[in-house]
Amino acid sequence: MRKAYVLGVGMTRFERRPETPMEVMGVAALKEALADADITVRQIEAVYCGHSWQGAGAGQRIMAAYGFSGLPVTNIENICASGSTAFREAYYNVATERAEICMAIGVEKMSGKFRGAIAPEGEDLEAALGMTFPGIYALRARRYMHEYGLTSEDLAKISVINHRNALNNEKAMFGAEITIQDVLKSPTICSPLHRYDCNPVSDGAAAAIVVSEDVVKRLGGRPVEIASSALTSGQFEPGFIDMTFEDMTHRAALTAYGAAGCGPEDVDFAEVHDCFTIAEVLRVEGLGLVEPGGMVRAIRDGDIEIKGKKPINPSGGLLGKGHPLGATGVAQVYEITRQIRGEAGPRQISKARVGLAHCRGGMVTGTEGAACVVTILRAS
Amino acid sequence: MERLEHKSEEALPFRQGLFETTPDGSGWLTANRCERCQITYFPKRDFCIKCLTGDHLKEVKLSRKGLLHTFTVVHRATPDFATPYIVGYVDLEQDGVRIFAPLTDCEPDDLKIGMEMELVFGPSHKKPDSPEDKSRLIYKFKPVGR
Repeated sequence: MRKAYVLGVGMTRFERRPETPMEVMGVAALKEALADADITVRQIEAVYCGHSWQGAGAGQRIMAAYGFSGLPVTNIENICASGSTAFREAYYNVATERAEICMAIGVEKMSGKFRGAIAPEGEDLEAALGMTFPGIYALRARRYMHEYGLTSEDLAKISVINHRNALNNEKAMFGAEITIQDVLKSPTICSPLHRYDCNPVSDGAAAAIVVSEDVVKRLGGRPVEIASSALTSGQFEPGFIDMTFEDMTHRAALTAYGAAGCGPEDVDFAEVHDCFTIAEVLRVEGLGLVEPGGMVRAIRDGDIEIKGKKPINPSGGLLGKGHPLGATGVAQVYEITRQIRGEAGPRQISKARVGLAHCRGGMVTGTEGAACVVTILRAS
Repeated sequence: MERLEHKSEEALPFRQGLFETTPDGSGWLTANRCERCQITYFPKRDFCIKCLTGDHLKEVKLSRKGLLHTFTVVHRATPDFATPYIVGYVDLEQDGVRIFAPLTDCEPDDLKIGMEMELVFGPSHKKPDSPEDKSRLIYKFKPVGR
């Protein structure tokens, strides 16, 4: 495999836009990415479009709305990791020499699609008995609190931090200065999780241009190296698994670290899939950035804040931006790219050479989850 | 929370093959166990995930009691469920199986991780798919001694 780079990124502001067609959002993101890379659409050789609920041919519909057609377009559905998987496909196509320049687009319009909580599809046994996405996280939160002494206040602090980070992100809708009490007083969704522990609905798109080293040499620009990208799905685990440790995240992280030739100690900051506050706790530990049970201390000591030892979700994360499923993974690449380039303005992390993007989601009864992608980017 | 009911003659199981009930309202969950690999599966599988064959699978009845591993009170669910309701995971220690199920005959403050729970059957809190839908019988757990 040869090296590959992110040459350009773009994204819409994640916000509720029930009147806007998803194609409009996709076009806005890809235009910004092309401009950021300073290339034209004619130089793109293949498009990978990640989404879950935008219907058949979403990628082609976006390209047609933009006004350029005929390219090989692949649509990718991997629930919360749809965008990350699309990015990984673009990366692998360049790295395995199938193309010089590829584009990954992530898009999702959530507004108006769901009433009430979201649950696993169709025939899922646990869903038929009342399982929902907030429900499984609430179950894990209570278990983690039981084992490690994490409190509701600790969880609330993650929401406070991520909402505050989002205030400095022009691409985020939910930036706010909230307090721990604001979180604890918000309505209970599934105990112990309150509304502010859960990511809000929003819509958006993000795009990334992935290129080879030859292209970087020819065009210059501000490339960021893609060190690795790993994908796993949940494993069948009969018996009593540890609900406080994310096996999928751990396996994907091990593969990503191995391929990048680095370890968690080398990661300066991360964009981690914080669909719920407890999710950030479980994932930072699953990634090995903090030891099991260590997030209690890391939250209380401020390690995860932008000025802390291991900044998490400087963009505001899913809590601060919302989670348009397909767009999230590519939006993480956007944030990490801008941080590494030193372009993050008021939310700039001082030491930002190696950044990790993590997306994980879905539920399949009998396994831990559906899909997880861990991508590592670094200064070139 | 609703009172415990044993009106199983009025409701059909919500799924086939997961449990058997008796006229007195008791019953059991049916699983299968790979004798070779010593792994029990609920729901039953066609083949063991370890040895990748069904040759050693035997149907077993799961024990009726277990320990509460975790739980949550659901206030916001999909539109077809009546809220609030309580769900949790119960570990059937003897069988090495963890079961997800609604919890009944208790208030949230009664519940503690590690407490002993036992299997019961009762109506689903999911709204029926149609007025004629009689497939309402599900399995649940209640604290032992209720």
